[in-house]
Amino acid sequence: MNLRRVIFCLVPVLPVLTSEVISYRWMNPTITKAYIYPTLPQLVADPTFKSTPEEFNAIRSKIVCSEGWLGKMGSENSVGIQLAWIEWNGTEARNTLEAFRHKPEVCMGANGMKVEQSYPKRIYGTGEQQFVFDTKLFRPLRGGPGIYIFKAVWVSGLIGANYRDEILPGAKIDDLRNMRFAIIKHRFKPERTRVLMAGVTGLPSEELAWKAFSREILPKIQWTTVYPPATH
Amino acid sequence: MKFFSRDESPKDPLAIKTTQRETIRIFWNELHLLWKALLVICLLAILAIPFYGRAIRAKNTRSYEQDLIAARQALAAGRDVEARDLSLSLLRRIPNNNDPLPLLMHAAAGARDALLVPVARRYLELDTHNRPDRLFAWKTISNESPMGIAAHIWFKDIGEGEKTDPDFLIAWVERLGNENLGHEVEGILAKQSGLIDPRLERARLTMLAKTGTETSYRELQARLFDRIASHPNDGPLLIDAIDEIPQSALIPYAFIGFGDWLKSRGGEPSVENQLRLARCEIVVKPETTEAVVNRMASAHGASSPLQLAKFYQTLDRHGKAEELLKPLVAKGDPEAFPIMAGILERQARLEEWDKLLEAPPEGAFMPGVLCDRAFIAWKRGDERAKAQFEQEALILAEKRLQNDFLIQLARRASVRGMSDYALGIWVKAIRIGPSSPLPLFSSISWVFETLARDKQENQLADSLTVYRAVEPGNLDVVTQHLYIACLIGNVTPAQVLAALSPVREKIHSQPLDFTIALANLLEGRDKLADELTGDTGIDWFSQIPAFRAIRAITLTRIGRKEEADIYMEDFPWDRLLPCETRVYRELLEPPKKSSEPGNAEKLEKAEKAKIAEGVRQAQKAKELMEIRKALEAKESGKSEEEKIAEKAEKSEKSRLAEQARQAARAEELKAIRERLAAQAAKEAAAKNTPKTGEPDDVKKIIEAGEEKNPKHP
Repeated sequence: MNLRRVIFCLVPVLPVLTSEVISYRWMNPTITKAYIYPTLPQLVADPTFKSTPEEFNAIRSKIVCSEGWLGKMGSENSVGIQLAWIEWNGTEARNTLEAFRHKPEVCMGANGMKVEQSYPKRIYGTGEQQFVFDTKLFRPLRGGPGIYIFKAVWVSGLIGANYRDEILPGAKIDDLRNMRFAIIKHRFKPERTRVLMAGVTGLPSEELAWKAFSREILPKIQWTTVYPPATH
Repeated sequence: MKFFSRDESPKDPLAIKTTQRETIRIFWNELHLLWKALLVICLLAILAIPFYGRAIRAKNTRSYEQDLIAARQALAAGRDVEARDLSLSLLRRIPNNNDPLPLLMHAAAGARDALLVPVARRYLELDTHNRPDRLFAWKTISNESPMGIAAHIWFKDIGEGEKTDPDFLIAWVERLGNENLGHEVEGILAKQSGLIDPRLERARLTMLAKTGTETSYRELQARLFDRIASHPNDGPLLIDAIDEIPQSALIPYAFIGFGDWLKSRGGEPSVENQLRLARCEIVVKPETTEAVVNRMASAHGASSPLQLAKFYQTLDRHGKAEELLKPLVAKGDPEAFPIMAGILERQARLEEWDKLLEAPPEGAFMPGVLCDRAFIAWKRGDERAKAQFEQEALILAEKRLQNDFLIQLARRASVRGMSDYALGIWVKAIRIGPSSPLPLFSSISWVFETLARDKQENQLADSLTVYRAVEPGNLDVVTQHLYIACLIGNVTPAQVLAALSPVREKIHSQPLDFTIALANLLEGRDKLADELTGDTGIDWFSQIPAFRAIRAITLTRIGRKEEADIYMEDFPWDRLLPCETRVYRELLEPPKKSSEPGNAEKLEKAEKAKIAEGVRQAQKAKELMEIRKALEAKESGKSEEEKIAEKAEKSEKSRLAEQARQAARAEELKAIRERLAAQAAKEAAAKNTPKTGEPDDVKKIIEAGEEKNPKHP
């Protein structure tokens, strides 16, 4: 087999290989800057906190996440908070989009709840440490105590991510075609993605529910800084 | 394909004229077979449609009438369930036709179906005129629906003519009597003109007996003997009211009045009337008591032992009554049983009473019997047996053989003083809702107060929800329900405001004002809350603690924190419901700046403004740098010595200007000091009181001047 023949055989493969290499290089840029990511440890210090790992394991495979936990805290005489903290580490576009895809009205609707009222978004923190919470009041179909649901998606490198608005400029989660183009255009491959969802019960207004939630839970979020590997 | 052909040739004047009939025939003959078939089918269809519609209607009507007849037959034959199902299917078939409604009502009554009350209510709401059916429906509502709903229907759906109809009226008066609403009964009877129906008069006598005072017993007897003297025929209906009067309250005239009535009736009086007359005789001639009692015992001891036992009981001769009752109880006499139980209870013979209750006669109110046994166990200190009997009574009552079993049991438990047990039963009875004859909210307000005191907020909210449906016009219920429902999150503050604000325009009450104020606070309208709670005439520290808390929250929100702290000093948090504590603590807590970023929109704007400001600053700095560079480039032509000389000149100029300013200021201060000193000397001379040192205002002015003009080192 002479070299010419080998080269001739490689000619059709080369463009494919080249495009693969280019696309890999494009979608995996070298990390040169330090970045941060949040973690919310389970609130074991609170005596009323109760983790529900079996519920988390039930949803884990559906949302293709890395880590997380579900739990609830509060007693009959205090404010009740149900919590969900989901982590995606070393994310791909697919599982990051999972974080945006699950809307509370769908999963709460499956539990016999209906949306009664929507509120303006709540923002906690600034800059990269910003959580944008979408807020809704849900109530059982036959009436009863309402539950205020706060849900935020945090994505590294995406300041003020909000799953109700455009994730990337000109791309919403419902419009997958545009989303794919935008992912390529903006080299969207976040390192880490987080979802924090809380259901607050036992308070009559959204303001009070937010006050209790932002006082009891949000300050417990811990931030870790990751430095890029030393370059020689 | 040629379906038909037409003669297109020009008109021939010599051609034979064809008639219209021939034209049609020719047209038909030339028509294609397919079109012929279609035409025939269409004609047949046009002819058949009206006949078909009529035939369907006739079939439906025949079937409807057949089913109606079948339902009537089933009802007449006592097959109530079948009649109910048939009449329901008829109602479903033609929804707007209410003809089968009375049928369904009677069938539901026979089948003891829960549909009865709503169907009766619907029937009364309709503009119907069938008196027997309307009376039946009203009696059903009056006996089996909550008092609030019955009152609503009485005032709204019962016609004016029916309200004066004794048959309708008596059902209403009986219900009012059962609910111990004596004043309402008196009000209704006072409105009656002319001769009152004897049944209504009898209800009045019962109400007077229930009042139980000496005056009421006197009025009872006066009315009774007056009525039977003027209308002897009403006597049989009224005369048993004597049995409700204790022996000590009988008046001497009773013997004459009763005797006269018996004479006017003629013939041999019944055993009951003979015994009643004997009671009256004892009042007139107390010395003959023993003789009368012996006479009655010898006359009726063998033939009417039960009546004689009742006679003994009214004379407080329980021993003799007991002797007569014992064989009757052993036989299972349902009337003797409660009398015997009453005697044993009065004499506190717990063991014998319990033994009697072990074998109640058929038809006795079993939950009540078990409640009595629980009471006996409680009195004997047997807590285990008490709990067991209580549970059994509750299970029996919950089977709901009758709608009011739970209510009867709750009342019995209240009478026995078993308040915790009664409370639990009342909560269960309230939960059944509009299909049980619940009393008015005001009659059982203690249930709600106890639930609040025991901090059972969910049960309280549920009970108030039921009562809001049962008494929609009761403002107390509406206010309390919305207050609790808002605090536990069942309704939003906006819904509270929508429901109560229109009422507040007409009615003012503290609970209403404070509930609206709370909703306004939760909605962020602090000024409105301040207006509603700012009544200075309230004695806050003797009021409900919740009012104090709402006022304190309002004051905190409008920035008067010190005043709010006074309101919250030694605040009795333990007297509040958990939901109140939770919400008030949250409202009183000041927002943390770090965790309370405020409105999202505002924050976004602030963030954007910050970024824009940064960009602007950067641009400005860039421009300044450029200008500085340009200037430096321009000045680079001058020599270093010239630059130094310029700088020195500038600093000299500024120093001289500063010195001049200092001197002018010192002059000004000196002038002020002299003027003030002169003025002070003048005042001192005027008062003849020598003053030492400079006056305070002078000092102040000097100090101010020195502050404005600091001394340079």
